[in-house]
Amino acid sequence: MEHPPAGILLRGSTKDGRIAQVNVRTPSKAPENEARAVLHGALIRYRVMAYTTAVLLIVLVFVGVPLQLAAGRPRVVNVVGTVHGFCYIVYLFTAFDLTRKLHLTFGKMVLVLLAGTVPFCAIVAERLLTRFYERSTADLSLAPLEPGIHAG
Amino acid sequence: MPATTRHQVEADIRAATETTETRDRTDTETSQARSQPSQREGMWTSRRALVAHAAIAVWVPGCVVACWWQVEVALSGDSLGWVYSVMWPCFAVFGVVFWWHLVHDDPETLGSRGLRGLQQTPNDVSDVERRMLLEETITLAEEEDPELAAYNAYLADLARGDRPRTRRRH
Repeated sequence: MEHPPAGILLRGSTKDGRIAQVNVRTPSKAPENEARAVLHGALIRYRVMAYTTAVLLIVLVFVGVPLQLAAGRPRVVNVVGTVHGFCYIVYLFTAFDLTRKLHLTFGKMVLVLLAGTVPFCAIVAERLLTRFYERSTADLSLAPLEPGIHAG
Repeated sequence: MPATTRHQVEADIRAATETTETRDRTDTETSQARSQPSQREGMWTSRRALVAHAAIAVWVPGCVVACWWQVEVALSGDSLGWVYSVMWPCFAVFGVVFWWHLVHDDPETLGSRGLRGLQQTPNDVSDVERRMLLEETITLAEEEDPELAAYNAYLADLARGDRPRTRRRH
């Protein structure tokens, strides 16, 4: 959301109904607003990639591999395996970004990164991380700040 | 304006001025810390950094070996090996990127902790300060411009819900 810079044009009315237009310098809330967006964005990006990676891996392991081994048809494995590989690279980025912003320990961070390679684990990791996110930001306000002024 | 509100605004002005000075100083310190991340003390030898050094020392050679193994798989006829022989170097590069972040990140200005720090500084004073500046500037503008003063007085009447006395007689 657009946020007014440090020097801004104020248009407003006071409680008793007078109006004015002034150019003033006010402390900027931009860093905080940015921090809110960055934190919440990290969660959303991670969740999207976790589900994508998890579904592809389940298809790969429970559809592709039986087809290749039992029916001798490797096409699903070739296609889904490649797509999962590239999704997993994106997953790694999003997972690392979220876990470092939530200040997870190094070991837990590695477990979340590896969750994208074990069937169903990415889904479990997504649930756990989303709950952890909610717990660790419970005392924080995450809604975007209003850019307008509230002059009485 | 009722006298109590005027006093309230003046009290707000004092509070806002005091806390704004503190906040400006904090902002400067934070931006300095951000502009010079490599100056953070002990970042190469923190516990997390040491774990990261050990991990990257294992990870990158591991990726090189895995890449070589996939090249051999590809050469032996399985064309899927080419895909993985591209991916393993990617994983190595990402390992280096993650390692760099683990060393250079300052947890106190990052993510949830960083946001908590920002929200615990009293930054809701800006609304008060804006209101106070608006009050001051309106008063100054009214002193210079009697027409605006008259119009504002009319608006203030409207806002109070007062009706001109002539109306009440009808």
